[in-house]
Amino acid sequence: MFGLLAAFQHSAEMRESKDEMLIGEIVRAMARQGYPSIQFRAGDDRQYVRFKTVTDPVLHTVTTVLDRKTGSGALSSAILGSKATLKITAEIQNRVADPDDLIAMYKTDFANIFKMPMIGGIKLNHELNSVFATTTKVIEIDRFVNKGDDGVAKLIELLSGTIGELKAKLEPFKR
Amino acid sequence: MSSPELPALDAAEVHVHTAGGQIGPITRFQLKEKLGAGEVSATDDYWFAGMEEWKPLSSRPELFEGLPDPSSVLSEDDRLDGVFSNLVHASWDYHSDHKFASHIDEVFLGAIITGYLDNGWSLIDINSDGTHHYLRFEDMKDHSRSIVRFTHLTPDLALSEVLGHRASVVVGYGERLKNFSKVWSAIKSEYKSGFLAGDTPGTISVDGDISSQYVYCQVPLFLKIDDYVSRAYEVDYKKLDNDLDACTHALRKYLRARFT
Repeated sequence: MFGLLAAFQHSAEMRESKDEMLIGEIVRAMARQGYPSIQFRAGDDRQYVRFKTVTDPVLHTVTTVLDRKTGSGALSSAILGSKATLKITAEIQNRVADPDDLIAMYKTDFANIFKMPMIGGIKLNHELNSVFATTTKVIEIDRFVNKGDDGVAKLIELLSGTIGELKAKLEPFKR
Repeated sequence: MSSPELPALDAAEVHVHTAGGQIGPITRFQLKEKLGAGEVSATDDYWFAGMEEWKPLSSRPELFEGLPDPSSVLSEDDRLDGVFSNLVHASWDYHSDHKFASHIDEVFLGAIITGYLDNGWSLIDINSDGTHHYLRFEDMKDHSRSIVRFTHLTPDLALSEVLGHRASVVVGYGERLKNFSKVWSAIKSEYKSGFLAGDTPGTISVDGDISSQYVYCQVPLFLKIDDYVSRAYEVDYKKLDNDLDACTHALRKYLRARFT
């Protein structure tokens, strides 16, 4: 009887842990690209991880926020699957120090950003020294976890493809 | 008649008639550059305010010869901008050092996750408030579990410069036991562990979870994060894997000797 209850408890834990498994794979995939994690805020259903893009000449950081929407319970998992939103934000940082350049950057970058606040689902935001591009994807966690090398390959494809798109939008703002 | 005084080095006042047409006004620095690039010849005529007529450049070589390095001749505006830039750049470096000191533990956290996953574990639980970090892994083949809990003790730059980046770390290892009496025995041990004073390094304590029938052994340690993570954000995975593997090995041996 106790064995049965323990097995039930274990399978519930595994179902609830899928988003953590995905975060683990994201952290490893980013580390393999030379992007170590530099900030974590992890709770029950929402995991925020920021990475420093040490090996990238354009980007400064990439942030992922995984927000699980369905599938932590047995019923919702069976009906809806394990849906989550994955928000990815890329940041470039301009260490502009010349006052004339700062004035020029402020004028031109702000004008450009307000002309195109959203490009193909990518939002741009400017915070003086940094420019951010953000996109949010709805994903099925089961596509990536407990699928062995195939799941990892799909995750790497999703991450590198999305980061590449964000980087392309940010490149014109890099000084 | 005497020649007029030469224009200031950074004043755009010189006009030149070249084979390609008239250029200017340009500075004497720009004139020197164009002569060097072959865009202007010494036989071309020049003029600036105060001259009565155009004359060949070769008639007044001091106009473009023996000029100092342009960067050494700055207007007051440029000079102050330069000082401001240097202050900002030095501040960026300082800011960078502070940032690194405050997030090296999170680089370490990511390295632990990567190291465990590379060794076949899956991350099943993560909690972090930025200072206190908790990770739980499961080996999906034999369902054994590993726990790493740590707190960065020296996130302050000055402290870390003196002591290094120290962390109090608890490493745990757990197995699901089929025999309920063994789990109950572990829970009794956990209760007794509560009477032991403090978290002395190397003391193995026991913990049990009756609902999942997992029994865990845990050991507190102090680690220097800079032994694993460099200032260039490089991780020594070989050392990290070796050290965590040694902890897991010791805890597994202890747990099996006591409960199986």
